[in-house]
Amino acid sequence: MAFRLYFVPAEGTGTRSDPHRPTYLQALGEPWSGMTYGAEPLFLVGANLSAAADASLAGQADVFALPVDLDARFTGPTLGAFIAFLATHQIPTDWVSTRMGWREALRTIAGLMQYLQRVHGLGHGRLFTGGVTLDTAIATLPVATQDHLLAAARSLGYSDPDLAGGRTLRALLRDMGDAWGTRAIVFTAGRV
Amino acid sequence: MAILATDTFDRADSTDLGAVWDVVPGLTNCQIVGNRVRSGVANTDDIESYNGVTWPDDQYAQLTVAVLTGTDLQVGTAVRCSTTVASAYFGFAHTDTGGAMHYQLWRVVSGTFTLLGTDPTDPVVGDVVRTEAEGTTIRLQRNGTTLMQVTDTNLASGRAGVAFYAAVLANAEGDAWEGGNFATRSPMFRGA
Repeated sequence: MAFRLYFVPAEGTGTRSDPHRPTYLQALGEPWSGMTYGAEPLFLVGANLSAAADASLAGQADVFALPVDLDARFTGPTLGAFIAFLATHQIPTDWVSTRMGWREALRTIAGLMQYLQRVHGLGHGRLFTGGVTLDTAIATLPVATQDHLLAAARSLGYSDPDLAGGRTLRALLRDMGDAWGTRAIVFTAGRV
Repeated sequence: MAILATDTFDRADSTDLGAVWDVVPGLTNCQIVGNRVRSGVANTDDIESYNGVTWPDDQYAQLTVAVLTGTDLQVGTAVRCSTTVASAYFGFAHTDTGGAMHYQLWRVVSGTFTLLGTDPTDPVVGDVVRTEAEGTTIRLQRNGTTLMQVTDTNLASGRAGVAFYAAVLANAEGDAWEGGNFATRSPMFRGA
């Protein structure tokens, strides 16, 4: 078919015999690669699937298949569906609008996914657990979590983020997504 | 690109790869049998890192597949191996429990395993399996051709090494390990 991106829920417990992996992909038997949203149970998968495999994956109710043409602009209905899907996975979207194209929005989202990956790599588990949401004030999180959020930004070469007062995870993640800038987002079958 | 370390494993059989190799904490050891490297413990992830050089953050590790028979096994290499926790990126030639053969790219972060990509290309004895970490791009190559790549920021540094898994130890072996960096050589000039 063509290079296409899919948001796919994760499955697996994270053990060697049951690793975290995107649901449905292994059963398709075709090449893919994917990035995680930190330790959250969501993958952004890139692949150039056969037409049958693409239809199978895109047809899953819990998968969001992005358009092949990432330079197209959002339309009202697609934007609404996209925002609703991402909101269920704790990805901030209040900045996405019909004035944007898919690629522009996706680069920021991929950037904030990478930021949460570094948080995970520094030793932090899932962020959105135990009642934590995008609207949680960072200052109310455990000190260890705040330390990881700060250390991740520094280790990626970003300016120290504002974690004080009532600043929320929603605002922080948006900023961290923007901070990714023009760095590469690559998959086996293509790039964003 | 420069070679920083090599190991042909041409020495006496041993359950210890030697003083320049360390087991990644939380994982298990490899061993030498018949001048080749293989799993040291059945049904566990056996990943060891090379400590004989100071590794740059951008690094690769490769080895030649020497034995690949039966099911439920992997022969591969690892990069950015931690010296304190069970963390690394690793790619390998793989045969699953059902006998299906393919290549896979994984990461383990603080003991949590994640599958980052799959390619259904059948591995064969003699393949050179190479895992690379260059900036935020993680790759798996087979015989010099990139099979998989993805952006991942979980692990920023560490050592290069080997990665094995086998239900039957003798079914998965490697040889001719090599690790290196991505530095470009200085151009040579000749006088007239």
